[in-house]
Amino acid sequence: MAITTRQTEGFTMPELEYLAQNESITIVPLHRMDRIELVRGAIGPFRPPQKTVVPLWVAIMLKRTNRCRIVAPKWMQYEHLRDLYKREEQPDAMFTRLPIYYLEIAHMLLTFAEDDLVESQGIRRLLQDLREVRQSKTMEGLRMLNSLQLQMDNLSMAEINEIRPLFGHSFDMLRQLDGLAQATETEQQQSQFADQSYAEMDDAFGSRYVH
Amino acid sequence: MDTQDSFSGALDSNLGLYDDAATSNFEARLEASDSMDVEPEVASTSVRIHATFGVEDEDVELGIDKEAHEDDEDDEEDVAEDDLSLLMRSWVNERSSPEILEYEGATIENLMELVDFQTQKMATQQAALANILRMDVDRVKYLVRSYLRTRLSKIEEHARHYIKETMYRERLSQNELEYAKGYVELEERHVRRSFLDQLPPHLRGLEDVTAEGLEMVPKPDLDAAVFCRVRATVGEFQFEPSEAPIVMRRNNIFITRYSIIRNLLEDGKVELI
Repeated sequence: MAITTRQTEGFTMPELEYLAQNESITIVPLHRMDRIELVRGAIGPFRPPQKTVVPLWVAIMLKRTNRCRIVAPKWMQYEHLRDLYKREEQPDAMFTRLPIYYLEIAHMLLTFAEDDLVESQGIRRLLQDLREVRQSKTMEGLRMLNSLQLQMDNLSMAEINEIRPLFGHSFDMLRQLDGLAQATETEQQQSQFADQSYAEMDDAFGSRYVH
Repeated sequence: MDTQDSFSGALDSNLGLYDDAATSNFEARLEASDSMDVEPEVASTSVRIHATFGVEDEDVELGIDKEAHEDDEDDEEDVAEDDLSLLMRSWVNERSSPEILEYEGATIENLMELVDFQTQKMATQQAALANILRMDVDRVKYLVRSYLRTRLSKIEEHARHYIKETMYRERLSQNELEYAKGYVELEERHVRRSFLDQLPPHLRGLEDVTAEGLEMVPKPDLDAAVFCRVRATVGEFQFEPSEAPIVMRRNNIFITRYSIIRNLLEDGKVELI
């Protein structure tokens, strides 16, 4: 096995954080530094107190050695999250718009740059609430699943990854049942003996579960 | 979310986290693959360094203001994608798709050239800067490794099918093709030795198609469920001939059958997530 079983079912949490770390974030450098050429492009120059945009992983590295302050993204500010939560909570509301890696980014910022966040406790709580509302909404969505497609806009990467096994398997199961239903339908039309086709359906079910 | 420990570990030991147990076995194999050993004497002129990081397409400031320009979301994604972002997307696609996808050989070669160039530069820098450069390079290496390993696991799963079909054979790199052939051989020898040779002669066959016309080679399930996100507005799209079309706009997310969006994925109109 070139990758683990867990990895064939989706992404692991560290992998998602790896992806999220490529997102850009604004920092205020605390030390002077020249431009740095990275594989993906140049960052800097760092001239305190001028803000500059860097990938999140650079921001975290600098933060850990106390060489920058991270500017919290707007969506992660307390007031914004509170409004989002209110909207999210409305009955029949769609999923609100959040960055695709919002959970990973929020988790990393709360871990490494808590002192740069205003009302970090409140933010933590709101994120938790937001997540729970969205989770229960996703589960509602499972009811609407059919064997063709289901649109689920604004779900984040972590949320999708979380529901992937359940939704994926349910979807595949529905698909198989659909195929089976169609097959029996045509058969029933052809044969006068409905009982016989039921027996065949049982066979088909049996063989699918045996292995 | 208890990843904090492992995560800080990763930062401390520069990606120590990613060198999990499984890595060691495959290191040797991957080392041998062409993409990893690029000739060291890369002239600095041939190395492309991309545009400034800050001016990336839509995700400046983490896409906070998306709501504000919801309307002009249609004409984006025309900006040329850098190699790293491209490989990142290919990696995610590869991980989520049931079949093996086109090999990103040129991209990997470019990236490995850059990695070599950056590694040479590292030696002359002061510690703090060198650390950032090393982390950057390690992140690229990790991505390349994980990408190749994902493909290997898929090749192992359907090796026979992939070397049989021309379409798939063309998607594999030279090394991957050899790997697939070797894998099939090994598997066949193992199966024969462990039990097939003890069966009555008429049950020993390993043909691709039996005399009764039964196909024996397992295929990837192209109808498997996938999650996809629309990258460039597609417009009305018919998921099934009998159903009403659905408008696919940028950033819409769907769960659907892989076979339905297969062509859109090839055109880069959607990405798997």
